[in-house]
Amino acid sequence: MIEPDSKPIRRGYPQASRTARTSVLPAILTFACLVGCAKTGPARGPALGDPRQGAELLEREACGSCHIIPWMAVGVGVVGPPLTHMAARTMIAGVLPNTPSQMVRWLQSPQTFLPGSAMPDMGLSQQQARDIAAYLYTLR
Amino acid sequence: MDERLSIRLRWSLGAIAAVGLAAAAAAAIVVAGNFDTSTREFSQPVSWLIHRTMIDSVIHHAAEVGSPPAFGPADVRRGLALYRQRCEVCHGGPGVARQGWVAGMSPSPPYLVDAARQWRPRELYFIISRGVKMSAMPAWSPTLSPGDMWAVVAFLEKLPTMSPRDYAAGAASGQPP
Repeated sequence: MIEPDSKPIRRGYPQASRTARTSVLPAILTFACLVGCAKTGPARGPALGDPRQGAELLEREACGSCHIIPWMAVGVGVVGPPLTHMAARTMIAGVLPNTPSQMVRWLQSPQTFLPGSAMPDMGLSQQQARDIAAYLYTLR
Repeated sequence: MDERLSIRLRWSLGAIAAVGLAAAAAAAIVVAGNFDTSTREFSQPVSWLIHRTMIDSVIHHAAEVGSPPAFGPADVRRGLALYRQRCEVCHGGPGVARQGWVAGMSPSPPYLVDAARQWRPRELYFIISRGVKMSAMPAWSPTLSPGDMWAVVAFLEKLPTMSPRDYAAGAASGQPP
């Protein structure tokens, strides 16, 4: 049986976790000033789209309810791994090399590469996946 | 005596003028239509503030909710069935996406895989029962009985310990995970 009111609670806002406090809260405070910087990033190859559209898509698809996403107020989920330093990571979900084209494929169908994982296929179009990938690759 | 009345009168007139000016300013802002009520996203600081407002409101108001009942496997089973019927559309599940059109909502309904780690049971009950203003989250209390709503809470409490396979199996067979 569950003891309802006696368990520790992690609130879904930045102060609740140290990672979020150090990476997200300062980011929130300075985000407005740095909007222009979102356009610069590493490998801006043909596979990548618009990072600002990507940021909006991440909010609309509620990705922050499962992932910590830097620069996002509601990106504080810990169901899946944090998306910090996504541009620098070597692998995607431990199953794919982290390149723009692989990231786009992953986003369109995570279940293809990790069947049975908690991350569902969200029906993203290729353009939507490119935009989200563009945003993720601004996270160095 | 006259001087005191005069001071009081001045303060009263000042207060009335301030309220009047504030009302006029509010009316002007509304009528001008500059506040965008479409689902175009807010800036991050505003988004954080709105999110924080909702969390603090629920924490405060959940005190109205009575103590949760003890939960058993039958409650979890019933809660899972209700969740699939009523909630999965907007909130998805482990390995299960929300319906496509849900991305058009602002605020966006979160996946609830670890909701039970962010909220206490009576807070979850409060959200389900009373809904969330200015979002698409309905108040379920006119539609669902308290027993049904506590069953959904029981399921949510169990959800962080369920694998995607458990969730799918539970949904298919109706058996507890």
